[in-house]
Amino acid sequence: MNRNIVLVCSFGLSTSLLVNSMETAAKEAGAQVRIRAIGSNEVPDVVDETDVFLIAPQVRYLLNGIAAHGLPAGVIEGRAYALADGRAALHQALSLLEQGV
Amino acid sequence: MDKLLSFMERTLLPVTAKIVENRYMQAIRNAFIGSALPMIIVGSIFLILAIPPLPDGLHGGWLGRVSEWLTEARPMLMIPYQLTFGLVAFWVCYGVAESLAKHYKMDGGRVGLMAMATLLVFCLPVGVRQHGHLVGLSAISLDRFLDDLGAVGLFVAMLTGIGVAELNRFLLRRGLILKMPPAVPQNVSRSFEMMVPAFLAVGSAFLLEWWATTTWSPQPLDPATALTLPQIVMAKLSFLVQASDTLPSAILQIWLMMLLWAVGIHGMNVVSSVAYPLWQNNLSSNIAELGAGEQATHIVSEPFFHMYAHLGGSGATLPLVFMLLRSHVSQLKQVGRVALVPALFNINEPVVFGVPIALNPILALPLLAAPTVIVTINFLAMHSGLVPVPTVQPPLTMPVFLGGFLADGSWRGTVLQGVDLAVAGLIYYPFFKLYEKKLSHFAAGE
Repeated sequence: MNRNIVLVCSFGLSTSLLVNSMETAAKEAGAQVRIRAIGSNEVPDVVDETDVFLIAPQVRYLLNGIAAHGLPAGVIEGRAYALADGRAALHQALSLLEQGV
Repeated sequence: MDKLLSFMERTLLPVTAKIVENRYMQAIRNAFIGSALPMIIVGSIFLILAIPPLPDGLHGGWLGRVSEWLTEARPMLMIPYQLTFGLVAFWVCYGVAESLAKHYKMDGGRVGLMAMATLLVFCLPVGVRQHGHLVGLSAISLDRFLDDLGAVGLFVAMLTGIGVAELNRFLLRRGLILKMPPAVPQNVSRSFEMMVPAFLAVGSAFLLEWWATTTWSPQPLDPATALTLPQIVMAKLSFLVQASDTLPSAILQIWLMMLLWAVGIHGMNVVSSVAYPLWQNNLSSNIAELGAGEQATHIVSEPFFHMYAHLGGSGATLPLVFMLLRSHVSQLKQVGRVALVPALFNINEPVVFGVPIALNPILALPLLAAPTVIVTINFLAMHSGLVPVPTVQPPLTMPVFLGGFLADGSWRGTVLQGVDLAVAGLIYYPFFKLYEKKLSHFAAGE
């Protein structure tokens, strides 16, 4: 079953840079995931189809609000985010999924 | 400095979270970004088509004839703009109600529609007489009605959106919403559920408008001069809009944005959730002036920041990217390579978190200084008439030079961006060198 990873930033612009490299990393690792980037205003719309939220560092103040939806959520580490390090971000998403809420 | 920055982060983060997570602030921001922004951008495109950036004083030749025709046809060509961007309050009202309703886990679309209906009621004077008889819609000019659904009505639109969503929530909690038996199809039962809140919302808006029109309008009441609630509220709050369009206000706004970015928080996002209504007021006033054949005069709007200050992203970091690319420190060069393409479209998170600038005591200073100097230059250049005031809001990803031209319809906007880039580069350079040196010492020490 595909797990849904949702990346959140202000407009879904800067996180979209990370989506491709995460997809490549997922393919390499053989992880069954679906990844997409959204703007913070879309969070309530996608909660039902999300398994884990990854939050961009510049909007890390959203963490508590997003975690309140009862799904695993974490803030992406700054340098991994900046360099679009898909492997690190994927690893973070998968370990958040493993830990659960 | 290190301590100062981490202290700032510790204090700013919870404050920001409070502001941004406030459900009303969130609803207002979502309304602008989610519901109004597409209309604003589409309207801006129609505006460029209606008032294209042609040089003044074209006479003779086919270009001259086109320019003459465009001036003559301007009232007609403005229609697509007027019915999109021009109705910004209408879209914002929907968006606020929709977003807040969703936050309360209610049906956003329906509550949004209800709020729109309520706002329409507020945009017509009620209780006005002509020749002794109470008059209705036909006595009111369409122009004034549509004006109220534009920038004039923004404050009332936001309050209406909040009010209607809260009314729905209140009724739902108290069980005062008509419930149909489960056998009734969901679509039918939902429309029944709307009846009580819609009746109360539109009905009380009608009564409120009746009271407001008859109390606050100049006497005797006349359809041509009678006031509506949006006009009354805007008149009371116009000092706020005026104050927002000054150099101290521009500097205060850029300072707040940059202080937040200095600790790696999206400053534009936070400041815009408070300032967006004011920016849109100023921008709409500009377009009204332009449509009337006058010079636009309102400087501080969304494109003032996004197109002329955030060059390559918040903090005017585009020159820094080129310094990174030429750096002999491999860590910085690597960031430069990743950061270049996004930076051309004004996305600079790779720079902010890769260099990093966020929480970096050396680069925090130019991050504050460069945009402050740029904003001051831009404000003065526009205030003195050297560069036209922005009248168009291009998407925030519009590349530098192109964006400066589109936003004010003049090559001078492009030149201003060039000057700004040079100034930002000069301010960043010494601090960048200092940081580079520190990194290479660090690497050598290892």
